[in-house]
Parts: sequence; C-alpha cells; structure tokens
Amino acid sequence: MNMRYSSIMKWQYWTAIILIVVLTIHIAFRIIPGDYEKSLSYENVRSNYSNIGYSIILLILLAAALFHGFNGLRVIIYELSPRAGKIAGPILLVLGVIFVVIGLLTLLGIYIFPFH
Amino acid sequence: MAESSLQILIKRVSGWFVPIINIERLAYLLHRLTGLYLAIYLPLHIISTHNSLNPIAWEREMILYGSPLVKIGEVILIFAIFFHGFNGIRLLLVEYFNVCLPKKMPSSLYIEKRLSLDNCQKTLLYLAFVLSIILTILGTLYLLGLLVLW
Repeated sequence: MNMRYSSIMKWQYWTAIILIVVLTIHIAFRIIPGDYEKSLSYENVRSNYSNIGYSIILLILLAAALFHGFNGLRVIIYELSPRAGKIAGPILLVLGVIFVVIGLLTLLGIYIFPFH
Repeated sequence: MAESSLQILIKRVSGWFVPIINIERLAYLLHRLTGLYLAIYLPLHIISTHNSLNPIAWEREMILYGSPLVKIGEVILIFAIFFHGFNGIRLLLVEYFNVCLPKKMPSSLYIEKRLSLDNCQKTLLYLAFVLSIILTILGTLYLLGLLVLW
C-alpha cells in the first residue's frame, strides 16, 4: 500500500514538471495573437485545434492536469478526513476519466465536425 | 464530550489559516487555496471549451466571458496559475532535487535555528511571490485589453 502511495506521489511530481512545460505552451498560444479577445475568436481556437502538434500538447495537458489536480484534491480530502479520502479516491478517478473523454472529444471534434 | 466529524473538519481546515506568522506559512496556505481553485476550474474549463465545436455556443460562451464576474474569476485564475506554478517549481527544487538544502544536515532533529528560513530557500520563496505578482499584473492588463502586444 505504501509502495503504491509513494508511486502515486512520484507521479504528482512528474505531472507537475510536465505541466510547467505544456501549460507554458498553452498560455503562449493565447499570447501569440497579441490580443486576448482575438486569441479566443472561434476561427483562432479552431485553427489552434487543427494544428496537430498543439493538439498533442493539449492532450498531454488534459491528462497531466486532471491527474495532478484530482490527486491533489484527493490528498487534501484524505488529510482532512482519511475516511472521506478513501471514498473520494475512486469517485475522482471516475470523474477524471469522464473529463478526459470530454476533452478528447473536443480535440477530435475538429476532425469529426470540420470547420463550420 | 467527543467532537463531531464536522467539528473536526472545521478545526482541520482552520488549521490552514492560523497562525500565518511567516511567509512560508502564507505560501503553504496560498498553494492549497490556489490548487483547490485550479482543481475546481479545470472541469469547468474542459466543459466550456467543448462548446468550441459549435460556433453559436462559442459566441454565447464569449458573451459570458465578457461579464465582470467571470473577469474577476479570470484574474484570480491568473494569480492561481502563476503562484501555484512558481511555488510548485520552488517545492520541486527543494523537495525533489534537493536544491538549497544545507550541505551538512543537523545531527539532531531538535535544531535551534530553522534551516528552512536560510537565505537560499528564502530567496526562492520571495522570487515565487514577486514573479507571480508581476505576471498577474501583466496578465490582468492583457486580459482586460489594456496591454496589446503587437
């Protein structure tokens, strides 16, 4: 059990390192157009998704952020109440998988639903 | 009389806040609060970006993004990202890569001088605060359209 816990915490650190890199790229894509409103225009967002390299970055960001965020939440809940933490673990895991699927559908949407 | 679960929970959460007697304690509290904020924001962000599949839904979303309440939320988000990020880098450097640890560890756990407050670690801590405040200000100006880069 301890072994499993320590390996999850090791992933907490590794996803933190991954997030520093991919989140910087994600923020850069909001800065590159030079204007925040322009960066959020429908055309710009869709063209961002059509960039395969950026889509892969977003996919890594999605998985790493969900793992890091939900595991962090689990740890906080566990520290406050170990019993609640044990219940929250599987719930957060299922929620994490659901949000990965939603994010994946958004990223694949560009290919399923071409530019309107 | 035994304490109820709710009383225990309140006591533990309030333990995050008191006593904020030094900058390290403040960093610990802010790291938790910004982490919670980001963990709550993330699912909302994933759902909201799913609207990019439909131009009408996206336009509706952008109107919502223009509301003052969402703007305030975004400013907090900018601070949360930068503070959690920079303080996280500090924690990684110290806890995972052993940066700024004293060359010679004390022989006893009961040390008189708090080594964690020595110069190197303190510099990293102040750097995390300063960088996150500067980038939050720049990010807020950019978000509000007061800073157009090119």
